[in-house]
Amino acid sequence: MKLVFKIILSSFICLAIITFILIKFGGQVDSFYNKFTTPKVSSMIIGDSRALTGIRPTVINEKLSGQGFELPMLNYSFTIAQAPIGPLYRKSILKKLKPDTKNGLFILSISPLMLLSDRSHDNYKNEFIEADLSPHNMDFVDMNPNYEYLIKNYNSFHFKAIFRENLISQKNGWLQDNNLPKTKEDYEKRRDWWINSYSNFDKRYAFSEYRLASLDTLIKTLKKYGEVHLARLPVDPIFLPLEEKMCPGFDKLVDSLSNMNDIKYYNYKNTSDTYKTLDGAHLSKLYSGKFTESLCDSILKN
Amino acid sequence: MVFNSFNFIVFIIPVLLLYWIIFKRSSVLQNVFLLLASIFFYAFADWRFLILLIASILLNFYLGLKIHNAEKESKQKMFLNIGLVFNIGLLLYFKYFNFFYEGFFKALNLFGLDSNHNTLKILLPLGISFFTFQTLGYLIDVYNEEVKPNQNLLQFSVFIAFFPKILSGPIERAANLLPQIEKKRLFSYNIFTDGLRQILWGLFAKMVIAEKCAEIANPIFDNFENQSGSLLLLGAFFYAIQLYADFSGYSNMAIGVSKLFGLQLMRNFSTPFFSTNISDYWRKWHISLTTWMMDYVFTPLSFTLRGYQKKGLVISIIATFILVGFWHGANWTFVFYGLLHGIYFIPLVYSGKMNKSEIVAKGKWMPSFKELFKMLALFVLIMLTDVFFRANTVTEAFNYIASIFSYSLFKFPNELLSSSYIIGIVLIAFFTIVEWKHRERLHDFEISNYNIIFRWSSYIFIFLLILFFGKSSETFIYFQF
Repeated sequence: MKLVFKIILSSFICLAIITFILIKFGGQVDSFYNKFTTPKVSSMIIGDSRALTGIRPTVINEKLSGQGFELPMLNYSFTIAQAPIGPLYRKSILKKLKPDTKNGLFILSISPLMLLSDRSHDNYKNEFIEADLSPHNMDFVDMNPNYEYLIKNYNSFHFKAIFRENLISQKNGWLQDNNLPKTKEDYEKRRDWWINSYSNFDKRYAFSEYRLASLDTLIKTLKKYGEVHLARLPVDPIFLPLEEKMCPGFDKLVDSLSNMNDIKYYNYKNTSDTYKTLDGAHLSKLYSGKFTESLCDSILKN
Repeated sequence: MVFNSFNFIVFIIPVLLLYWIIFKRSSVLQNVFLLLASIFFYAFADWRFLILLIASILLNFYLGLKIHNAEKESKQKMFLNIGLVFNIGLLLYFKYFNFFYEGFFKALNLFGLDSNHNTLKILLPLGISFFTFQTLGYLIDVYNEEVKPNQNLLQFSVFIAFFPKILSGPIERAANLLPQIEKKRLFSYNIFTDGLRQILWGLFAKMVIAEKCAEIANPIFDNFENQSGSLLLLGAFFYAIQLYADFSGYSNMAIGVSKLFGLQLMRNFSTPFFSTNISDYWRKWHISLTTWMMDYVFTPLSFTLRGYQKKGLVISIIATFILVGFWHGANWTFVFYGLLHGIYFIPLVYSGKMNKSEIVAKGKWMPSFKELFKMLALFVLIMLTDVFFRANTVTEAFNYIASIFSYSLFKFPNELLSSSYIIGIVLIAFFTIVEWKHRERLHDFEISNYNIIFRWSSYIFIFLLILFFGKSSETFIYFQF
């Protein structure tokens, strides 16, 4: 009896510590945890890490309130490793979406990398590199605190991050990256790291027709719940030829897809002078607000 | 399924509850349940070799009985030899076949006999080095009449397949474990809580210390050609700690889990870095392997070579340590690792200090300067030798060590000022202090005699360290062996 009491007490203490950290610092200890702790939504930002840091839901909520959309907006973007376009991401989006949504707003941030697939995987046989990662390994996407996420994604947690505030995932899903480059050299160093990664991407990944078809399916699915808008976010011009090499004719493909589905495609790829990035690929928090405002203006115009 | 995974928590809680509530009535029920749990555990890790494990259990059980029941010495020897051929054959095939196969073709090439060959793709069954050595030890003990053969297949199966030790040891001895399995286990509060403490310390050693050291050492070893001597020395330091924390952490978890079932496995590590000579170090490092090698290789070999006096002893030690190294894997790096450790014994043999072993600074807070110097010197030697353990080839290890002893050894490594290194060193310092404090105890975290407030504060503090600094890697260095 004494042992049972002690085991229960010690388990309770451990659980209480973890729960406190998750509730108080959930956005600091893991960049995606908060997305699975909020209620289901009717409007979403969908995309990779560019959208994760670059599109701010609060700006959209302000600019587009009263326009008939079912707000608030949730940034349901992940990293490129977790969320390339495909059936798994679509399934997760639908899990997070309120089923009775009629006038939702869906901003689909798209980049050539999101249409790549591991060369060793056959997408047609349901082989996807992202299969074991969040959000695809999650059954409960609106539970607070979310112990399922903790158990299944323990390795992505950095509990010591409660002592620092470099990356803060807001409750609305936007990832606030406070680690801005201090000098031009610092920026170039980060950009070079990405260039190097891109060349490795090239060796391992290739354009997937399957993922392109999935993009079409995703658009058609989301249109049932509201308006869908496609956007390509600004990147350093040095990346553009690399991206073209990975996915030749990307803009034409997306253009024809948007025409087919009668939706708009806003191409911001050449605007990195106006909207600056912190590493060549991700918008700086100092410019993400301005960029989101511009995106909202484009949506309003159409 | 490793001990530091959520899968294991999901597995162990119902198994423990059923074991102590439903199956506690008799040793037979306890053993049936333990065997089923062990089979599930092994199959969950890799079901493909379950048949091999079962075949090994059946054959060794049968041979143990045959050795004991044979009336003639020659018959006994024949059954022993069958067992030796089977068990060593298993190891040779699964673990060493490609090593010898490649060596053979390399030798042909030396004589100009060029030949094309492809190595076979042989999967290594999990835990084979551990359970094979256990069965070998059992058969030799039965042959030498050190133990009576077990007449009960169920008990013998639990002895071989008991899940906490099947994947990575300790390499148990029949004389220690079988008598415990034969009896009904009674629940002991003290043993159970001590097991939990040992698991907690093992988790800390693995998830915090070993993983932190790996995070620092891996990039240094992977890119050692471009690093300064001082940084390479740091890399060797962190790797030596990683190796110890990884394996001693696993052993503490295995022993701790075993205690939860009322079974006490043998101690596998006894603060080896607090040793003042190499002989003492090996009495405290991977004790279950070292004692196995001493009993079944070194002792008979040194007896055979006793006529050569100290030379015979040196040959026996070096041969034993080459085998110790080779046990770790089919690579010349491990052979070299063993050879070097064997060579380190030579001064002790000739100075007659080989058997001196005692707890450093027994009953004192601090070691003397002489003891401290000896411990540090031994640690540096072991740390440099561990480079062979980590390197992919012998040449790579020599290059790594040669690069340490360059002018850049005196260059201050700026990495040392980074937060990652500082945190790593502070954590290692804490780990070392706790191990030093408990070096005279039964295990590294035996704190049962402290008052309750101190004990509970310690548990919470270590839990927080695991939470804040821990990583949950699903691999252990010794799994590959």
